[in-house]
Amino acid sequence: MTPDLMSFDHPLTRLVVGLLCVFAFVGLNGLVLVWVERKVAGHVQLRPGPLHVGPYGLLQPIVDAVKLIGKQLAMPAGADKYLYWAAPLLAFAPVTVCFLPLPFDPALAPMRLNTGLVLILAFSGLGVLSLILAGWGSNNKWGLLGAARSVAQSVAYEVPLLLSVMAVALTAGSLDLYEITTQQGAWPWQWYGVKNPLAFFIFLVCAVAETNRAPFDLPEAESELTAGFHTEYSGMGFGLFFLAEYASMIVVSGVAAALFLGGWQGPFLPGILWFLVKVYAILLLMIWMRWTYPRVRFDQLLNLSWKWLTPLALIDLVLVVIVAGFGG
Amino acid sequence: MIPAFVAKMGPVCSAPMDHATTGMTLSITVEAQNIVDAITVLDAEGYMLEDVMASDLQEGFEITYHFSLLDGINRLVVRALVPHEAPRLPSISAVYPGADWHERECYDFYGIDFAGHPNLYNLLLPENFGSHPLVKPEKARKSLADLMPLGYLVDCGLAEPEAEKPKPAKVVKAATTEDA
Amino acid sequence: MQAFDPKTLAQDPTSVRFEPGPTEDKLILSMGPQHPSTHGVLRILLELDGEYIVRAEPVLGYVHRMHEWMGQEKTYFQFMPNMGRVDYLHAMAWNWAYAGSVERLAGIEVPERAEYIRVAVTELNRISSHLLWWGAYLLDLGAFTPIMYAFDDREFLLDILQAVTGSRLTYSYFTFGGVYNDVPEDFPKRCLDFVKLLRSRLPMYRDLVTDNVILRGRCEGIGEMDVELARRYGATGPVLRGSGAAVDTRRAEPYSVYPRFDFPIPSYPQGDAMARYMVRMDELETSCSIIEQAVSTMPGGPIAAKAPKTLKPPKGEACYAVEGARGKILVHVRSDGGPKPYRVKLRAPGFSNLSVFAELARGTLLADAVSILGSLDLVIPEIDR
Repeated sequence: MTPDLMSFDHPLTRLVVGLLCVFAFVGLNGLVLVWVERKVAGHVQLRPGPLHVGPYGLLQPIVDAVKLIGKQLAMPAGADKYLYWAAPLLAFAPVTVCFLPLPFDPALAPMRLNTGLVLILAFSGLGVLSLILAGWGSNNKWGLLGAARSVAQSVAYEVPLLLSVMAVALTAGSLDLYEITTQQGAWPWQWYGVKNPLAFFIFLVCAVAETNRAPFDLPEAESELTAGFHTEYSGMGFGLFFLAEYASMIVVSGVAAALFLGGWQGPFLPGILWFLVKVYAILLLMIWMRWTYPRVRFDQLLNLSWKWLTPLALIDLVLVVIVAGFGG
Repeated sequence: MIPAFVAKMGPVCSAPMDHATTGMTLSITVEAQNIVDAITVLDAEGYMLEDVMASDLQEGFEITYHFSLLDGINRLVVRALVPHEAPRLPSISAVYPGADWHERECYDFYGIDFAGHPNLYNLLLPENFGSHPLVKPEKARKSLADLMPLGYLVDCGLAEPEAEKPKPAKVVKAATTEDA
Repeated sequence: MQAFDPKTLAQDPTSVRFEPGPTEDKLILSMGPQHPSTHGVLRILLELDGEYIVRAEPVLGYVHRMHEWMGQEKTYFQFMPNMGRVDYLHAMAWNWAYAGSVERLAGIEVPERAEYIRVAVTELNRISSHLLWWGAYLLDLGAFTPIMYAFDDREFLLDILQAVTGSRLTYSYFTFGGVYNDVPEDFPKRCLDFVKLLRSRLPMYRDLVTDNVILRGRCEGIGEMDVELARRYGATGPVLRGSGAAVDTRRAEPYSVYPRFDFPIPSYPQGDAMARYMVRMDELETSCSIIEQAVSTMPGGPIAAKAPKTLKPPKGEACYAVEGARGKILVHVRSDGGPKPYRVKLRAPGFSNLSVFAELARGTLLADAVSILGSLDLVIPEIDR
């Protein structure tokens, strides 16, 4: 039986329990995702991936985590102490908040908000702040370049992301992810992703860019900027950035599943399973892309956003408004 | 045959060489001070600078510039000799920008000063290396005569301006055998 | 241990020289010597305006080993193993250039079978070099997977070369007048099998990688150079052929038995990074075809001419040019008649190719500079020698 988060009456208890659950969920899924990524990368690259630690290398991420935790936390000379250490925390904290309005299951929404979508967009926008702080605070030129790139990138990609999300919100007439999910059915033709494929496509592209994943991983482009904004971070400082990246991948996949793929709804299986299946399908797509494509150049990235995705998203929005106007 | 442009390179000594046995077709020796003029002629002829090599001889440092056209068997070397006491000659990096690094390399290994070089600093060695490793000790140096095979047909064209005539047959033969 | 002092960095003389100039709102960035895409230990000083490169200056010498000095101090035979270490990716070509120049100097005739073996192993080695370049270049462009496929193919190659030479990377297989060992009996078959394998893989590489729109966006129109620029800087090999001149030392200045083989010389007129990329991809096929011809027509006979135990070439000088994977390799040897060369000069093609970089990189984005650097196909030990 799935635990019913809605049974906690007091909103504060629900928030605390929800947050704890989210932390556990993020931690666990982060580890699983590390394994999945390495395993998929391995198979894409004609090699088995992690193999020796535990069955099928399943314990590899735990060993990785232990290694990261055990490492010395080094700070470069001349770095701004407070900014430098605030950045990884700031990277990780907002992402966890983003999980709160996500409806994993009818009974498993940590916090039902009528403006859940806005909350997620607002807090995921905060992520870029941590990249700036990390790049600026570490007193490293590569970090600075990475930070500058990340600002331009997230400003450019938040616009079409927002527009594509708005198209769905307009169709559904709600900003509540729970509400949007319930408006879709269990079958693919009832999903917004199928009804409005353009918005789904734009959302996916922007999601990859927002999470700084290849082929849009410019802020940390290792062959150009060594490691970009987290060049100087070691141990858990780097670990938190790493975890935040995976957490935000899960968030955007979760939002995509809820907005475009019908969330927890699906035949036969329990809701939470369907939700996870959809989330992991999108995650696998992102991993697959990362290990297949070369990295785009910075101006190409911005061009793609401003010249293609933003106008397309606007057109899509207009179409949605017209359809909604005639329909309603 | 000694090509016609050699006459334009100023007062030079030229010697045809056998490509089959030396890999070169022509050796041109110029006064160190005239090197830029000589090489400007080669640039106009479309030659590519392959390499700059210096050697430490009894007579001084011999700087050897390897040139060839892009296509075909036509490697020629231009040589200039500078004394040990004042190893200085004009830089050709204004004509051939690619010579920049080659000259810096010669500066590294021999301490040869290329006048007019825009950026004459150590290239391969650290800046504070302190010595020039390929400079030979006095008694290890050999004279040019010890390094040249007998029968080099050097033609300095100083006495007679039209000196391209002699011994053309040898090089032509070498070229044709290589083609076959 | 001395405490780390950030000021000592500024005392590095190269940086100090580089710093002055119009540096208002400019960023001086030291790319390397430990940077993922400088392929080893090359350092490039950059002056950036935003991400645009105003000035670039490569700083060399981090793996300088003074091969030319060793050439003077070792006997002719002793210096041969050094040739495997100059350019570790195309060691055979360096072997050949040195062996060839000494053979010219000493007047040693190479038996026909040895020439065919030389051609076959050099072309195999060229393929392994190009495959590695391909993987590493895509790594520079942010694609992590192709290098694994390249290494997968390269593994078969290295096995073949190991069976022939006994080593997998730094070969010292040539000797004056031939090669050290005869090839094993199954060598032709293994070569042909490999050629078949590579040909079956190349279409996949073209579909998955070469035709990828992101890759094209990163390579096309980047780092354009014309023949004139290449000539002035002495850039050779795929860099020159990528600027439209179909020049290959194997044809232009024929050596060994290359005139007997029928092979095209790929060249592309665009002069950009993509042209250089395409030249190298085409050369994989060219080398395959040469290997096929060489192993199927390989004559019998001795594999090396009789060379004296202590080689003392007559006084004189000789140079020998070989087409390496990166361009024209030229070894110039001067002899005073003794057991050691009087002077050995190694012309590394990468050295001249890299010297164009400062010109090509000016005004480009940092990411383009990485792409240009990769497209020049650098092997730092060869450049630093």
